[in-house]
Amino acid sequence: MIANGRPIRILLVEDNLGDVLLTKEAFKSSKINNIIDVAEDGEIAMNMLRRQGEHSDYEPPDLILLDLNMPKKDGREVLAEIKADEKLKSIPVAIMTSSKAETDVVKTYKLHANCYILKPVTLDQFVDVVNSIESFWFSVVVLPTSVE
Amino acid sequence: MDTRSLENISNHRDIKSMSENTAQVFKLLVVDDNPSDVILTIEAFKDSAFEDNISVAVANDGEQAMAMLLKTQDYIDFELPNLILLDLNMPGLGGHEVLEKIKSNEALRRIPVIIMSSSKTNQDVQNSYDLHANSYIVKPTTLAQYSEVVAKVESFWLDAASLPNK
Repeated sequence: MIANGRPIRILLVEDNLGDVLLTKEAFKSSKINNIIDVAEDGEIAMNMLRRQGEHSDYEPPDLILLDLNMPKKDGREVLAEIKADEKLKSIPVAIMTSSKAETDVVKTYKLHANCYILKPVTLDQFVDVVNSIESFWFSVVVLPTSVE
Repeated sequence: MDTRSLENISNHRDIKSMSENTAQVFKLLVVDDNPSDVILTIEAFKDSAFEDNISVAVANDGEQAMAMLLKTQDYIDFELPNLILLDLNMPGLGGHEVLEKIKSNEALRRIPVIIMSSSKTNQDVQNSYDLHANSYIVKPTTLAQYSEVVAKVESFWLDAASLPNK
């Protein structure tokens, strides 16, 4: 539930170019108007969220889609930093990873990930997952940014 | 006769594949002091595509919810839920306090908590996310609306999302 029909802003933190393209493609067919910004690694993501350097004009996202296994700063570190930051911790973070390991699922929920999604493989599956993200997060849920 | 035995075989297969799917029962804990909201929630889950795979436990207030989750006295055998639906405005221990207790408890904080409240205030929404609610839903009013919300909750949390099972 986003007020005023403004577009949903999503920050996609993902180092794999193929997954970035699939995610963007899946959100293109969406009924909900959306803007996707991409951070290619965890360091860039944190710089964007903290509006450092060249990212001083960056608008905070409504939802973060976060990969776990990335070079430099990985998804677990990014998640821990976001959820320990007073200004950022209310932004919902959806982990989107190819890891099925129960330790990753438990660890990230304990680090206050808002949800954990297994990365789909084909475009059709990406579209299905994106549809259920939308029908829950962007139609049923009240996001912290929608009631400012 | 041949047709019948074929039917039997296919029925048998259906039953077998269904029982494989139902091996994992999804345990839901609803924490709500309002009996009519509890009934609407349970009815909506009963009508859903996942009805055979869901077991719903109800806590009528925050104290009971914590007693269940911490397995005290009467609740020693209580099985921890896969997902919690938590009302905010309750007498005694309120929803924000229950949320805070869950999310600061080492054994419990992995369990996703969805706030389901009739409050739409900025303060309640922001405060819930700050206390690490996994998501925030405004309570529907009619059964039809409940069914719609429950269907979307299920399609996301029971299908698209992975939940911590242990």
